[in-house]
Amino acid sequence: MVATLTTAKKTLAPGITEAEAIDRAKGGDAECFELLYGLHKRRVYSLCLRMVGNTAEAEDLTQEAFLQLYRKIATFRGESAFSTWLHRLAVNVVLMHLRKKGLPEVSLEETMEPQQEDGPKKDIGARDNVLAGSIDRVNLERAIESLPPGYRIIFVLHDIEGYEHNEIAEMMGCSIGNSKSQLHKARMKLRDLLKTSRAEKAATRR
Amino acid sequence: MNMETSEENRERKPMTCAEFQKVLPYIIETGGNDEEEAHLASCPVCSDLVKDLRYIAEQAKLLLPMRDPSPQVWNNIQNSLEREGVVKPGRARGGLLGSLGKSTGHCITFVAALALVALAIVSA
Repeated sequence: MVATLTTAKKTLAPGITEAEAIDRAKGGDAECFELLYGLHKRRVYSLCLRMVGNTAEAEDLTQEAFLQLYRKIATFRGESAFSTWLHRLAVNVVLMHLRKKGLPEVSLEETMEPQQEDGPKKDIGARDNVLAGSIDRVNLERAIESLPPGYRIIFVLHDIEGYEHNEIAEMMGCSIGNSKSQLHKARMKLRDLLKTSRAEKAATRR
Repeated sequence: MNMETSEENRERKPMTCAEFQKVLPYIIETGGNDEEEAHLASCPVCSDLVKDLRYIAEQAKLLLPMRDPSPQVWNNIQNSLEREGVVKPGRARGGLLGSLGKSTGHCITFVAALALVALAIVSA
């Protein structure tokens, strides 16, 4: 995964860098922990929200992720960027939550028996305008939200959060091939959703 | 027809869209072999499909974190930490600006102690 923050140089408050805040938070400094929360809450919350698609659940999971951060921050050794480490922790919190709920993160049915509507064969022989230039952020967010959970999680982890298939496979306990296959189906489903949305918009304009 | 001949015939047959799209999940990021690339170059339907899928992936990478959680999330975190006893009640409440830093706190404690000693001496 690509690190997005430079831990050592990020200044959180006058005279304190993120690295210093991390060190102090390791020693139990609650104020520095609050600074870290302020810096990372938006990304962690967005990650949770995109993965579960529900604001109340996403807030509970954000809370749990930061509580775990407080308990585990002393084990952060700086081998990766702090943000990378924290996001991995948050992903694990979400996946654990989904397992407890009994929702499969990667549905075996979706994997073994792809529905015809999700499969690539639907496109054979049909040509339509390409999507390029026609997607806006709001439409894409909406389409992602309406993906089936198994597809959505893989798509969020790979295409938005930047995890590699081997990392996803490890986190989710599936094969790399399974991760690739689910991602492909997620993108295919998104393509359908975005094309439908575009067609509906065009129809209302007429 | 022996097995070798039938394999040769199969190799010569151009790839179909169904065959290409079956392997697409595994080659979209890394690129395919010569046969798959040849199909992609000659088939507008599969070419459009690949363009769309790549475009969706590119747009997803540009998505930013959406919004902050409600302030209640931080309140709940503070309450949990206080309940667990890892943070003293009120320690972090009110935010960094609303609470005292460690050094300021120590300083006030020291001054208060000095005042008490001075008061004790004066009283005596």
